[in-house]
Amino acid sequence: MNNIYKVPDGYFDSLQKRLEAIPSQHTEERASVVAMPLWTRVRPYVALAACMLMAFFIGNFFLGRNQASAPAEFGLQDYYMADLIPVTNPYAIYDDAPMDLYTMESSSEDDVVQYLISSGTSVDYIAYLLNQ
Amino acid sequence: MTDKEILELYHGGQQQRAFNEIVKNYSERLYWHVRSLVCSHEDTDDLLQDIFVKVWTALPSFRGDAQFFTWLYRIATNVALNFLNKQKVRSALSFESLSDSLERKVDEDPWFNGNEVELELSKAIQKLPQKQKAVFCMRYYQELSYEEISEIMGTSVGALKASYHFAYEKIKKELKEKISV
Repeated sequence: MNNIYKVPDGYFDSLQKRLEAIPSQHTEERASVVAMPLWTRVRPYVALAACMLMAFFIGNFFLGRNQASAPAEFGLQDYYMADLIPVTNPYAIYDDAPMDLYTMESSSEDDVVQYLISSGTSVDYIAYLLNQ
Repeated sequence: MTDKEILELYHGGQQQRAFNEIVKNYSERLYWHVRSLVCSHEDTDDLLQDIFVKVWTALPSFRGDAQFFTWLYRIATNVALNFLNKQKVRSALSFESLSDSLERKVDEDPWFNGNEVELELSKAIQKLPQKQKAVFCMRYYQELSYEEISEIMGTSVGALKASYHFAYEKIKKELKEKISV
């Protein structure tokens, strides 16, 4: 053995004495390591797995319920889009729509009436406007 | 007392006596092994305490699959490498590399007993990656065989030989540079 280091005089004797005292100081610690039953060792992993399973089932339950309550043919996205599209000129929502779509079509009286009905104007007021 | 006799003593119910025999047979060898890895006498002294506490607590689980002395060396090596990993983090926080910090320890060590070339060798060893360093120290200072180191490190003999070769080349290059200056 090549030793390039040295130690203080009598070091190994004192080291040996200190190390020999370890069993009396650490017997309880060892007993707890040796006597640890299987359930105690696997319990944290079981708890983690149970939490993950619970999160999965709860998520699955709520997602399933939301999907079932939404109408299949009219999703949330369609609802918002419908609100954005003007009743009288649906093409106006597209910026890249051909120019002739704007110029060709002029609003007819029926379109105006339909717009007023859809915007919640009262029938009496619409009748008043039509008579004018 | 041989390892077999120590284990027989232990299983025969004389646990304290068996432990004392382990301390008697191995404390010095493990001291030099750990010292070659961590350099400082004070750190080695602290680590030896941890190592033998681990040995005492893990002794009931030793099944005899490996040789007893390689099992002890494995514990000692793991404790020393863990210590060096923690030192690496601490060194990073103080903007100093681990190898610089270890080199400084070698330079300032009042218990260094080698000549100038050995000092440079020791400093060059501190620059190696930790596993290469462990392999090199076990082979060079402890004179263990590749088969024994393989059992300790849990690595194939081929990988160890390659590791030792790389370590040797790096040290050679480092020493050439130092000596030529």
